[in-house]
Amino acid sequence: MYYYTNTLFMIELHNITFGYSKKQGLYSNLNLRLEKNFTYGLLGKNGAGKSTLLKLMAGLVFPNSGKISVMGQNPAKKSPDFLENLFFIPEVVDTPEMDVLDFGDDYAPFYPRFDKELFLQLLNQLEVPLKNLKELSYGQRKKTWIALGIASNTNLLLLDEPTNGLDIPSKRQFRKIMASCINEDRCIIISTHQIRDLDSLIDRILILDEGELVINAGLETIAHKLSFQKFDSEEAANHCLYAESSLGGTYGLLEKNGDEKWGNIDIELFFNASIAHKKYMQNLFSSK
Amino acid sequence: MAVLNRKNRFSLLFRKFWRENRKNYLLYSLGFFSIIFLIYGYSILNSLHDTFPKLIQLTTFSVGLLLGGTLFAASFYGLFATPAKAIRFLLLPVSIGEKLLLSYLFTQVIFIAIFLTIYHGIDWLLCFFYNHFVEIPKNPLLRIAQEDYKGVPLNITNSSVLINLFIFVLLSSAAHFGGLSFTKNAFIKTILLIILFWLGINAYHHLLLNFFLPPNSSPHGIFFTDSLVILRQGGNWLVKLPGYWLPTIYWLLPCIIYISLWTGSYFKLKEKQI
Repeated sequence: MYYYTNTLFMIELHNITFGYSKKQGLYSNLNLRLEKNFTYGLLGKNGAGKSTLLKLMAGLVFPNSGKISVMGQNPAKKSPDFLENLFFIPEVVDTPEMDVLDFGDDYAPFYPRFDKELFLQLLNQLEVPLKNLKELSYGQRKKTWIALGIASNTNLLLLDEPTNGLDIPSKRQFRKIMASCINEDRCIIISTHQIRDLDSLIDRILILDEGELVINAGLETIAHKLSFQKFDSEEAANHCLYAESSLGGTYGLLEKNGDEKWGNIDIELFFNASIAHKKYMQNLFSSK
Repeated sequence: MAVLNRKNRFSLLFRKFWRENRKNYLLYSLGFFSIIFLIYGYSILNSLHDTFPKLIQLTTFSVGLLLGGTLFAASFYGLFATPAKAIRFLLLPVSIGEKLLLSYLFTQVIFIAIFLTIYHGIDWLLCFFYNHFVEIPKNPLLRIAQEDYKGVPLNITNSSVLINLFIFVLLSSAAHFGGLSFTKNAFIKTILLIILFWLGINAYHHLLLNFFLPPNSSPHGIFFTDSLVILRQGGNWLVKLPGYWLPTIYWLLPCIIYISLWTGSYFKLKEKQI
């Protein structure tokens, strides 16, 4: 039975301290609140603790101190009614040697809202052949997991680097599918370092760096506070908060001073700026 | 919304686990019982002009049961060596108790049922083979030992078999606990720990008994087997253990160890982190 109360925050992390060893801490007093009806993009450099944060939410690792509440429950208890509302797709997936449909049939009864028709439809859209999983490529097996995760209709869907191992058409298809599966009861958290894969998919950004939450902001807020512009030269971008040059020109990020129009957000530029000017960006997005 | 009751959930877990692992289990079983058949069968072939190899019969049973059982129990949670497999197992919407019940059934009930059934089959076949080709010697002196020339399958109520089953239950539970405690080389590490534990207990007993019973007051004489005489100032003191003490300690201690190992396994599984 599912007991999740209809609170605003689906996930709450309060003063979380965590480290894989006593000497090497990863998080210190991490605070985070995530709401339903949003798709979060969890960004960070390698080793920033993205996967660990997802594991903390799933109850796969336990904090040294602090409190975690996911759908009103302590994930470390791993109660069945909690787990049937959570689906976690790790970066590296494992599949047994069995038929794709049997695999789905084995999992379906454990998830009360599992939609078999949707599962078949997603397999079709992702072009997964209905064969034995051992005959499929790694990317196809990962797509099977993605289809299973979405079709399970859980309220919390955690995806760790979901586009790793997918070919270019599959990444596009993945974005399309993910965009269609969000609903008002669902919260999706996608951890990635391939920011371009999540463009147009996420509506809130979480940036982790050195065990610290640098940013937790919606795209609207980012667009409201920052402007992303292209400049002819590096000199012209000198006044920017952050700028970087590429083959296409120099791209800079400026803080808005008034009611300027909203523009497009370059998530990669925003990420790099947040890492380069951590304190400034933290202050900018923590102020109301 | 369909809600699974516990019975349904466990049966689904069992079905899922079996479907995913049956090929491996059948393959391992085939290899395992083939080895037993080969060793036992080879000794039968060597005994066609000799007495029935009762020692080999009991040894293949004991070693097969204990080695096979502990290896199987220690490797049951081998999935924890692969993070993706471990995540799949831990996040399956089933309670910790049900996951533990699954491993209990496989390592303590199903293994033993399959082992006894197949071993009995091999035993019966090889005894039949032996009895078919070996005749009781005509020499009257050897006829006295005619029972030695007859292959009889092991009886499950035989005390040697029961003791082996008893040891199996304890060792496989310890191996299961070890499998949950160590991610890599669980079997070897568990065996080493059991040996260290055994040596430690003996050393502890030695020290403790030396403390309570100084060497000059050690048990001796006609009371050696069932009583202790402690020399004290002014005369002899007789310490006699009550009659129920031996059977009580014989069963109670293993029961406590067994329950502790499975309780420990429950908490190990509950607190498992990836």
